[in-house]
Amino acid sequence: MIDQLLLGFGAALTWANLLVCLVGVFLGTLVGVLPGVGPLVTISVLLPFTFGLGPMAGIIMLAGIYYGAQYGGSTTAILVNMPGEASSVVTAIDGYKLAQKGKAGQALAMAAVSSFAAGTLATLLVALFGIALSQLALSFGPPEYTLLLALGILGSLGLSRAPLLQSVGGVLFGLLLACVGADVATGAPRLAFGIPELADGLGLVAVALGLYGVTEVVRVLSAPAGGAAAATTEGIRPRLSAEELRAGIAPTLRGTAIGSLLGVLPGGGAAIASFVAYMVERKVNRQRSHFGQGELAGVAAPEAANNAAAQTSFVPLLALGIPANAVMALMLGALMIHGVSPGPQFADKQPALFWGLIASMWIGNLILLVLNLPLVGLWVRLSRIPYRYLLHIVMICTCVGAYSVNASGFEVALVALFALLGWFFLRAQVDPITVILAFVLGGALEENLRASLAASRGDFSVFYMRPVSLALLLAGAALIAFFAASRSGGWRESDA
Amino acid sequence: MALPDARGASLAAGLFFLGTSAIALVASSSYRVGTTASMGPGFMPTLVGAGLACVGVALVARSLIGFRVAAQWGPWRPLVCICAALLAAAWLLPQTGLIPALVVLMALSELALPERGPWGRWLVFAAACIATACTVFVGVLGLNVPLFAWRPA
Repeated sequence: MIDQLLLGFGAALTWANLLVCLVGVFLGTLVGVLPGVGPLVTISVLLPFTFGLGPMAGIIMLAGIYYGAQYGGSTTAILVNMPGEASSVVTAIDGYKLAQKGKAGQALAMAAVSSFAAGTLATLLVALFGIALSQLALSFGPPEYTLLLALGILGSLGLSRAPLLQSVGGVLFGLLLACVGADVATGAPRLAFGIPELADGLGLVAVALGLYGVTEVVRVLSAPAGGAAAATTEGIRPRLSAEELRAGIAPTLRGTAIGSLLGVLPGGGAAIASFVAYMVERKVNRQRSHFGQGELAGVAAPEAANNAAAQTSFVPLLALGIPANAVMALMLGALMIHGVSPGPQFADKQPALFWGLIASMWIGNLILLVLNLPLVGLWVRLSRIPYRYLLHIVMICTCVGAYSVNASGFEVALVALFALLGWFFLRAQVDPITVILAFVLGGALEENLRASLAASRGDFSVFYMRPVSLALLLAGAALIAFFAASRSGGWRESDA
Repeated sequence: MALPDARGASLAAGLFFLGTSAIALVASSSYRVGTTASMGPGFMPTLVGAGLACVGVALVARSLIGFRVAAQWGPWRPLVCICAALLAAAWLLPQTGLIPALVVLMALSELALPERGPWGRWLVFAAACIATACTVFVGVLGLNVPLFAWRPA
């Protein structure tokens, strides 16, 4: 395994990849700092521009954006009590208090260091589990794939913040969208309504840009405008004493464990990981009475958790081909567009790419640490760009990006259509994550279902007679039980 | 921004799903559905469409029991302006090239803002944006679109 990791580093450590990683991390931090633009929006907007980069460089950049955004969100959470990302909300609690006490430097340093440590550990975990999962997955046939995909789609129900009925509807709608286009077996164009551009199906770019990117733009514009809080940029050089560093070890480790676990589960992710880690730390830490008044552990734990979760959420994607959250769904789409199908065969068939991606995660973390500490002042100044300027940048990137997919204005028109749909879904309490996940996975689900049933001549027992299928079925049942028990049934405001 | 309450949302979602499933079922009726052993192109859309119809009915039913108060949909101007901007750009890009399309895009997007700043500043900003866009997208990334063209459809 070590030599495979080394192979990965060899593949990842090219000047081109490093540059791309740098750009991604920089962009991600920038995006994390700016409220109203999240990693999801950015990734969907920049997706078409990575097509020319090749699969490894493209994913490296998108991944860099993802965890760069975690860090950027934390910076503004600490400095101006404006978390740029949902996963930084908890960081603001103790982080901002520390800043008000003049200890912003310590808070920022702790956030950076614990994130880096968590990222390193999580990368190791990914390296370990990735292999184990892939080897298990080599015994997969169409029935197992079908159940796996169904499990993934089921997981989106847990990710969804909408009421159950609307979530199920969203999933079905996404599956329907996946049916648009040429049928794999017969080549007949389905649901294309005679429009030639639809003969090949709906593109991920248009759907993602419309449902997420532009919908978010409309949402921000429709909300009552909020003012940016003024903050000083003095006294924020990051530094930590040895004492503080040592006290931060345990919270970081706890946060890493929680984040690694929650990042892998469908329905998990960086935001939930950071909340849980903060809660746990409050219960467990010796200084718990100081929490809420500026306690460094209250920054270390959630920061470690959200970074670890960001890393490990790649595991189900790379090893099984299942996205654990919305960003991973976009990564999956991006990989597929590059002609790469992550999944059980991936580590075997393309070890350089697989291990290269894992290695690049750690590199991204390193760049984050090195890059961001000196740039803190810049980020704060940038976080105060009024949305009236940001809006145009996003719109231009969206328009040109969508156009570039097929050199056709049709894609741009599709974005407008999906933006309308996205706005409607927002009002009708349908969570777009259910639609997108089902859309991305639906095609493969249908193919594998068809293959399974064709091979067994319509006999459904193939789904519970084989050991791995049975295990997956039971896992699905457990997942359903878990969701049923934990659903609160309320619609929570978007925080992507 | 007031979100519609659960009832208005359920009704809207339910009607939408019903409508969509109707379209899907009609559109796939011309394809062979087949059996489970030999799924035709119509199998999946029909199955999913039927499921969607059920969900739609359930949602409409739920909206009629339960909750009170009509839905609020929020301001319509941002949505209309943003969509119009994209549609205009979609039509203009292949015909008139990048620059005119971006100008229209930015102008319409600006209309979506709740309050607008001074025109002069916007013009300068727009010029800077468009110049950057042309340099980055066409110059650096090699996008295949003319900067300025006149090809009426």
